[in-house]
Amino acid sequence: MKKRVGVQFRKMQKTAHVYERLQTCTRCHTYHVLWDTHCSECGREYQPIREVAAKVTRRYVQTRFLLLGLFVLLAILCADTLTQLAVGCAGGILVFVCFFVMQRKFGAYERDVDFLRYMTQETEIIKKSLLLHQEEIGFDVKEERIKDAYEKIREVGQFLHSDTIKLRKIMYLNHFVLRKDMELELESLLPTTYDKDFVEYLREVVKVQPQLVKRSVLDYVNRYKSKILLHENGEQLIGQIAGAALRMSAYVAEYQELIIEYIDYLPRERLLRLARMISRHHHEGGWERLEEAVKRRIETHHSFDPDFHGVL
Amino acid sequence: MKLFSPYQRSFWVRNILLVLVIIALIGTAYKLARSYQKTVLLGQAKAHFEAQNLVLAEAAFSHADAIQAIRTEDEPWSQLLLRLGTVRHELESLALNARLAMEQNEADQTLAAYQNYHSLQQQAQRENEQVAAFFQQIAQNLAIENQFGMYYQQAMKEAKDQVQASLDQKKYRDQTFIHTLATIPDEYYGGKEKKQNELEALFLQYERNKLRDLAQAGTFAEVVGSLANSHGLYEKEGFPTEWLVSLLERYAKEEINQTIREQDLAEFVNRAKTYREQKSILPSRSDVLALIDRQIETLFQQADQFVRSNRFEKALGLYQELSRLEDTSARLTELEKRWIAYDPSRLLQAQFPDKTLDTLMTGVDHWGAQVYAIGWDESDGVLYMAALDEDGAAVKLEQALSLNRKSAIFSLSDTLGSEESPIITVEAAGKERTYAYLGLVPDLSRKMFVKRWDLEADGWEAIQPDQILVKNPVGEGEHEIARFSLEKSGLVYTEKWADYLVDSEDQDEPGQMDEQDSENIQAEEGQQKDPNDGKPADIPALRTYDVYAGPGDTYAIIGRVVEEGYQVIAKENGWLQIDFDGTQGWIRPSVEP
Repeated sequence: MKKRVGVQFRKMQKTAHVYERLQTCTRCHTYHVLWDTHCSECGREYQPIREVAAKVTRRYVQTRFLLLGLFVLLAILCADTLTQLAVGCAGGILVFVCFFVMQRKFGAYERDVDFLRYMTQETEIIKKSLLLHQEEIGFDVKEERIKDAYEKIREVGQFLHSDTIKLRKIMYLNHFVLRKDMELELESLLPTTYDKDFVEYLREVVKVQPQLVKRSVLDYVNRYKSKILLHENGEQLIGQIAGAALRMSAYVAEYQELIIEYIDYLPRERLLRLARMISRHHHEGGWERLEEAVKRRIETHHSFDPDFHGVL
Repeated sequence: MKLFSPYQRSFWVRNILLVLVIIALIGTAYKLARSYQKTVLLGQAKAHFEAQNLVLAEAAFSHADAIQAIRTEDEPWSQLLLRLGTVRHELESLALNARLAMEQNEADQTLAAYQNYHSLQQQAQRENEQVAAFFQQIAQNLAIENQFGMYYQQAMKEAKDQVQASLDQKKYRDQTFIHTLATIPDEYYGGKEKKQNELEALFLQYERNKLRDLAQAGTFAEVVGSLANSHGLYEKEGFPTEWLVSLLERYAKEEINQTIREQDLAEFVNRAKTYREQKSILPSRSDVLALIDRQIETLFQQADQFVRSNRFEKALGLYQELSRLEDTSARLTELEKRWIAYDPSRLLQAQFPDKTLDTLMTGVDHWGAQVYAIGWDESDGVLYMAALDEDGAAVKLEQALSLNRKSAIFSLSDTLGSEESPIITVEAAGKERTYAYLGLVPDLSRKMFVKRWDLEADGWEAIQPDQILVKNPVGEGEHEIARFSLEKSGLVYTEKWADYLVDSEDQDEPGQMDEQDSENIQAEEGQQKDPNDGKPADIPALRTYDVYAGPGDTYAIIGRVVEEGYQVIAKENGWLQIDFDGTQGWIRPSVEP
């Protein structure tokens, strides 16, 4: 058994959209997703990508205004008579006003469209910047700065959703003592295939934060339960997962087969909760087999426990 | 990585455009300012025009018109001001040109400016009153007429002073006053007629005095040249010149008549030539030219008379003098023809002018030549011949002869060859025998002498046109008096005619044989002759000599005499004067027997 260390993770920035985590150095033309505020190359302050995209859009608008102005001025310069001069001036002012009004009206849409285009254009650059971050993480791991490595990969993982990232996250998390006050993740770490490190991590997470067990986790456990059983105390782990699934009646209804199968490994208080849920929902159809299994478990192991009396 | 990020690209594009817009903005501001200025000036011009102040109106309009920032619509008042602007520009330019021309004293340019001024003035007056009034006002402001007046009065005074100074000093080289006075406009003389009369009187007086002075001190050519030069100047200025031509004719007639009276042919030719060169300025019926023609005709007649009387040198001299006036080439050709016929040796002089040749023989109708002359240069041992062939073309032949030059005797055989193509025989001292004999025939078509034979012997005689008796020849027939026949290839031994007896002394030194020896040999030969053969009994020792018209090779050959067949009358410089067919001839003493 590896020795785990106790750590305090840095607080993650909460954003409405993932792209809001992206920052860019306008001089070096690089992107950054970590917590640094200034570019390590040029020292210039990172700017949020949304702000930069808005500036680019603003410059596009200015460019169009200037281009329009240039045409109007050229028209005035080419005017041969006073009439042409007046027409040129008046037409120029009119065009300016129209363009200004249209810009006010549709400017917001243009910003979004431009932002999307900007992101599309910059995808490759962003990917390269994330790749650089991954190299940094690798370097941290070599230097055994596992906490830093995890914090960085947690940020990078916001943009990259591959099994590699997930497994590296799990690998790093398995170095730490998990606590209730930590910002842990579970569902986002689910690999597409079976992974024993994930199962070990799941065992620790269920202990401290069972509320992280959601439908996808239950599906994963259900899918790979035969392999989980090969782990040391695998039955207990699945029982804990089944117990965690008792948080919502929907989960109970959906995963009652798993619960029935591992009902013997449910802790007493989870079994009591299950009994009470069944009593509340026994009039609904589909709960009969589960009720039967719970009753049998209570009769065999908790018949003398006063808390179970009268529940079912 | 892309070269520029969208952030950077947008930055540069915007800023470049910003710079362009700023530049365009500056340009636009300038244009607007200038357009405003033009509009204000046009307003002022219109106001002045309505107030009938044309000078100020034109000035304001001109300033406005110079602004090219904007174009304005043409209106009647603006069109008139535009025309006034043209008038002002023309007058200012004219005033400037006139001032420069006056400062540099350029009469032509000043006159051109003056004429241009009047042309513009008339044009302005033709257009309308406003333009005419404006023209006068501007001309007055620029003081153009005053400048012209002052300049021309000064120029007239200086030109007249120059005329007087030339007459006083008798120096007539500088005649620029003619041009100056002619270019002064009529109005400064009081009208065209007055100008004509005044200048004619002035120029007549000047030319008379000039002619008188030049005739006293200068040559005929100088006087005529000076008058012709004056004529050119007057004509160039469009001034009548009949009076000047009259002066010239009178002077030339007197001078040329003087040369005729004095029979000074060279001076006559000089003057006639000089005068004829001025033919372009002379009247078509010039008395002097007619006089010259008559005198030339007289001189030609005189030369022709010389030719007819065989005084060719005199005729030649006359023709050569007259050749400066007339084409005498045909006459000279005819003269040459006659002269050659009279004295063919002239051909040699003509064809070999750098040679001093002894004329050996002359004649006619031999070898296809109309006439010929053959000469010999003892110094280089070359035989020269000049002839006129059947077409009358001159032909020359020359051939070096390898023989003893000093002893060479040339003769034309009257026996050998044909009458049309006789053979020239050359006899000289031999190396192995007493004599070396050479036979030559000129070939005019090939321009060379054809050698018929070349042999050495102690003597020879032609007995028939193609038969020769040779005494003791070298080679075949040695120690014989041998008969040779003349073939195409040369002399061909035929037979022994008689034995030839010589003493041993003669044989040792054949070149030293003297006449006495020769006579002895002849005597012996006479003894050797076969009395029954019917052939000549002796080899002739007599020679023939060319008879010349005078004591020298350059004289014509008038005939030939045989040795001892003449009577000596007198001796002169080694030549003998002999009685020849009732006349007198000369033979060379060097070849005297």
